[in-house]
Amino acid sequence: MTLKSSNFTLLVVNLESESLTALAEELHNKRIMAPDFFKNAPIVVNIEGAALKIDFAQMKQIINEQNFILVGISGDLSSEQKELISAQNIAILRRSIRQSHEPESETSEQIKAVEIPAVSDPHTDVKTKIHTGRVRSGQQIYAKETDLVIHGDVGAGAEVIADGNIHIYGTLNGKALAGAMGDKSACIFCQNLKPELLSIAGVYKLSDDLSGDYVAKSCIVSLQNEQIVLGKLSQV
Amino acid sequence: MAKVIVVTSGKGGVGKTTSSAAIGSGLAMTGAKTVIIDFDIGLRNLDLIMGCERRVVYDLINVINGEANLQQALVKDKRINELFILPASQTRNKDALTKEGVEKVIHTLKEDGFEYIICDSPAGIEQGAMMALYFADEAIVTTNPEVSSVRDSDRITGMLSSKSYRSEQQLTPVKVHLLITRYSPERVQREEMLSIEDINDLLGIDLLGVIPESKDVLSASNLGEPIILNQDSDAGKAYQDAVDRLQGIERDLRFVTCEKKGFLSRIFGG
Repeated sequence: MTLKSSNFTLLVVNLESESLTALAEELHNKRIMAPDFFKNAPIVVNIEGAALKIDFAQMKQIINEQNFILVGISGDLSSEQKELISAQNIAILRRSIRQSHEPESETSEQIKAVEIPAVSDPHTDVKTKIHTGRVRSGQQIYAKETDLVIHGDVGAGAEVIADGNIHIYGTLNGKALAGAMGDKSACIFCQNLKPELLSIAGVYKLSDDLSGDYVAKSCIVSLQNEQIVLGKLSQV
Repeated sequence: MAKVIVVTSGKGGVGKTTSSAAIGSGLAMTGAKTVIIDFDIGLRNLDLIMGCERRVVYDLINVINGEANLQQALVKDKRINELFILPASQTRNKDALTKEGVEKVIHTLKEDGFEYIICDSPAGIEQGAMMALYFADEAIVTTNPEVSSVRDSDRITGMLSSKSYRSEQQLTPVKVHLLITRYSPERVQREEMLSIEDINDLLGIDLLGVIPESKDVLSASNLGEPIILNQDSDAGKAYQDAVDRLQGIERDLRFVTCEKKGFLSRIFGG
C-alpha cells in the first residue's frame, strides 16, 4: 500500500454571502437538472471573503440534505474561520499551484470571447488564398480566416485546410478540412474526389465511409444536420 | 555553368546509388568533368558500386572539418577520365554534415571546373538527405513502381520545392526529373505493378527515364562497375537514354512494353 497525491476534478461552489439559503437553492436547482449525475457528488465550498461569518454546521447539513457530499472548504480563510471549520471536522483544502493562477484563466477566457465574433464570420476582409500547383505528400496548406483555392492536385498524405470553403481544381487524394474554426456552413468543392479524409467544422468522413457513387467525381461536400453530405457538382 | 544534381527518393533501396553511379558515369563519358558525392554518412556504398573502395583515404566529412583538402579526398575513376568520387565517411554521424560545410565543398568543386556535381542522397528526410538536396539545381527523383515508393517520392518532391536553397531564395525552382527504376512491363500488364501512367498521375513529374528490372544491375554492383558501362544490358541502355535526355537530347522510351514472344520461343521457353 502506498500513499501518494493525485488530482481530481471536483465541483466547486462559490459562497459569497453569509446567507446559506442561496446555497441551498443553487444546489437544489443543480440536482433537479440532472438528479443521477449529482447524486452523492463530492463538492467543495469556496469561501470568498475572510470576513464572512458562516455557520459551518448548518452548511454541512444543507449540503447533505441536497444529496451532495462535502469534501472540504477552500478559499482565503481567516484563522477564525479555520477554527470553526476544524471544529466541524471539515477538511480545509488548499488549491494546487496550477489552479491558483485564476486571473490567467480569466484573461484567456476574455481573449476567447474577443476572438469568437471574428471566427463566426470567416468571410471577412481576408482575401481568398490561392495555391497554384500540386500539393505534395507531407505539405499542409492553411487558409486562415478565409477560403482556399487549390489549382492543382492534392497528393495522398497532403492536407488542405481552410477556415472557410475549399475549392480544388484537380484531384483530391489527400485530406481536406474546411471550416477549421467551426464554420458549419463551409463547403468543399472538388473536381475529382478521391480523398483520404473530408472534414467540415470538425465532423469528418474517411474514404472508406464514402459512398462509391461520388468517388472520382466532381463533388460538393457540405455539412447537414451534423453529417457530411456529398452531392454532385454538376446538378447544383 | 556547373550543375548540382541530387539523386533522391525518400524511400531506401530503390536505386539511388546505382542511378547516381550510372548517370554520373554517363555524364563523364561525354567529356564533362563530373563528381559524385556520397551523402550517406555512416553507410557509405557509392565507393563499392563504383569499385573504388580500396582507394578511399579521406572523405566528405574530413573535407568539411578541414582535416583534408578536396584534392586529397577526391577519388579518380580508373575507367573514365573525367569522373571523380567524393566518398562518405563510414565512422561519423550524419550530424557532421553542416550547411556551411556542404556549401564550401560545392563552391570549391565549382571553382575547380566541375560541370556536373551529382549528390547521392541517403534515404529518409533527415539531415543527410536535406543537405544533399539543399544546393541542388536539378533533382532526379528515383521511384520504384510501387505505392510506398511513390508516396515518399511525392514527399521528397515537396521538400525540394520548400526546403532547398532555390526555394528559400525564391530563385527558379529546382528542376525535378522522375526516374522509374526496376520497371517490369510484364508485371504491369498483370496489374501487379504501377504503370508509368499511374505514377505520372500520382506525381506529375517530367519523366527522365524508365529503367527495366534487370539481373545485370545486381551483378554490376557486385563487380563495382556502373551498369551504364554494360551496353549489352537493357538497364545500361536505359540509363544511357536517361543521360542523353538530361542533356536535352530526345530519346524514345524503350523497354516499357511487353515483348511479344515468338512461336518458337513460346514452345522452347525463350
